[in-house]
Amino acid sequence: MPANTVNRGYPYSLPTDPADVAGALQSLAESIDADVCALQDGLTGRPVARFRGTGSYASPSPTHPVNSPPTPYTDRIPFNVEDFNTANVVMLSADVGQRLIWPQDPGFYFALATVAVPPLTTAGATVVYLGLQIRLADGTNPTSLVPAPRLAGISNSAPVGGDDRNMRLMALGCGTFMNGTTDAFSVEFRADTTPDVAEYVISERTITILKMTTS
Amino acid sequence: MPANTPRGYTYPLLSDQADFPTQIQDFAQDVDTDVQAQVTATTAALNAPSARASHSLNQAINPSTFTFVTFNTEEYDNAGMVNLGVNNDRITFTSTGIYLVEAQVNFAPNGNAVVGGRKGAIVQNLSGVSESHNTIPGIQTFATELSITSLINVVTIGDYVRLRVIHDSGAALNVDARSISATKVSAL
Repeated sequence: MPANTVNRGYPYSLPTDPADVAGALQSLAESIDADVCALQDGLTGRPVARFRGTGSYASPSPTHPVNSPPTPYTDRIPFNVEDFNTANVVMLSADVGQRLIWPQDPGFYFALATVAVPPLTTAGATVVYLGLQIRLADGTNPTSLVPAPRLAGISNSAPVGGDDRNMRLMALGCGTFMNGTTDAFSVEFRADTTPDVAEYVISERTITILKMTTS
Repeated sequence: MPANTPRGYTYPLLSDQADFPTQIQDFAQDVDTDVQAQVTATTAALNAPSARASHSLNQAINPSTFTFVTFNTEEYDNAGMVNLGVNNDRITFTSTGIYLVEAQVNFAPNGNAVVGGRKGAIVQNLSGVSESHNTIPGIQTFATELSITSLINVVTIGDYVRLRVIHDSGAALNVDARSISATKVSAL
């Protein structure tokens, strides 16, 4: 009865086994071959995903208090295109009340969100505030008001204009643990103007995700 | 006398006494050890040293005063990089390499007559290394959120990064939500 190595389980003959050099060598070679092939199949690049929102999107304006949005899912910007995805991340529907980017495996992730913000075209209105946030939402309950803690945020009080070549790219990154069961990213854009306007139209937006650990 | 391949696999020579069970066991165990080492290295590569610390309660920041913000929650740490009981303002690197570091801070809305600007910086302990920072004007009626992202080359174990803020508002301002994270993207 052959024995097996402690880690990988490769078979080898014992002195008490019948002498079968060819058979023993074949068994060992095939075992090593299968093991190394399986390892090679598992060698991939770091899991990554990128989702994109195409076309324009009208973010509700005026803004409401940053930390107590009455309907958080209306601020969540929608994504509709999966550029690549080797990280087992689910993009929920672009419908209002969905719009979450939901990693299905636990681990530490780094996420980078971008939003292209053109000038406000409403005559007579001045931009007071532009804000972009990444929040931690619940993928199993996407319309839930709580909890949606802020993971990262960036704001700007200067209007988009010629100094930006009429297109400001707001970018925001964060590293955080996601549990693989409920945790989902939401990307939220807010604007406030004087006087108030009904909406602020933004352009293309992305969220790129790198999975940094396996648990 | 058996010989070894460059990876250390043992094999008998013609001049060796025939002892197949011992020789195949020796070979199998050598391969086993080598492959297991590759599995261990691969697993380590897929689990980058990573950490995140945060705080949600107010910290008062005096005007025109460089201040390191503090953290009270260790959200994640798979490499012993956060020790809030010893230093509550930093991530300390426990292995060398290239790290993706991100920090964010939220200044409370400004109630002061002088609004001023806000600045946040990821600051290393290394002298001669430029900080990574972001500076924007403050807002009187809304919170001012700053985010900084940087790639940092850590050459010495024990080096650390902190989040430093400053503002020139008319009086002290609170920062509330703030965090700092680091994850290793490459070993040099």
